[in-house]
Amino acid sequence: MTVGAAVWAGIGAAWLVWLVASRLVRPLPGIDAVVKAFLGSWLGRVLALAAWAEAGWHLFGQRP
Amino acid sequence: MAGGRRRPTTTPIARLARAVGVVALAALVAWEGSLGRYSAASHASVLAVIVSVVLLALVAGRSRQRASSRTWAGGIVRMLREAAVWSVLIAATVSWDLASFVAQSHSLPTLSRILGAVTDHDWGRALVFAAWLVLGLYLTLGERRGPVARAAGEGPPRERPSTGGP
Repeated sequence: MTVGAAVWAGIGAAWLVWLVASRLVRPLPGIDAVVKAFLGSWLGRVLALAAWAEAGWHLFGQRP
Repeated sequence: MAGGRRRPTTTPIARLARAVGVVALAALVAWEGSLGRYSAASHASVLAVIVSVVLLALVAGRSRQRASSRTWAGGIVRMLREAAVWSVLIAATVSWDLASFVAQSHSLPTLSRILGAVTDHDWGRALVFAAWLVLGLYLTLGERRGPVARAAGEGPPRERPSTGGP
C-alpha cells in the first residue's frame, strides 16, 4: 500500500467513524446539518453549488 | 394530523409530469454511463446539467431563501465551530487532495483518481452520476421556505428572507 493510499484509508475511516458517531450520539451535529447550514442563504447555496459543479465537471469530464 | 405539515394536493398532470421527469433522469443516467469522459457528448451533457440546475435554483428559489446572505455569513462560522470535527475532516480531505494533486506522484493518488477506478466502468459512471445529480437537485431545491408553509399560516420565517437572486 502506498503512502497516499494509506492516508486516504485513514481519512475514509475517520469519516466513517464520525458518521456513525454523529448518528448514534444525539447532540453531535451530523453531516446533513452542515449541508443544511450552507443552504440557508443564497451565498451558502451558491458556494455549495459551485463546489458541486466543479466536482462533477472534474469527475465526469476530465482525467480523474 | 394536528400540528403536522399539510401535504400539498397534487393533480394527475403534476403526478404525470413528475413520473416523466423521473424516467427522463433515469434515461440520462443510463446514457451518461455509456459515455467516455473525454467525449464531446460527455462534456456537453455535464455542462447542460450544471446550467439547468443553476437556472432551476434561480427560478425555484426566487424569494424562498430562509435568510439573507449577510445574516447567514454571521452565523456560519459559529455553526462550523460547533461542528468542529466535520470542519476538520472536510479541511483534511480537501488539503490532502490538493497536496496529492500538486505532487503528481503515483504513490500519492488524488481522490478523483481513486474514484476514477469506479467511474472507468459504465455502471460505476452511471451510479456516481446519479448520486451527483440527486445531490445537485437537493442543493437546488432543498431547505427552501415553501409557499405551502406560508399559505398554511405556520408562522413567519425564522430569519429575514432574502430578495430574489444571489
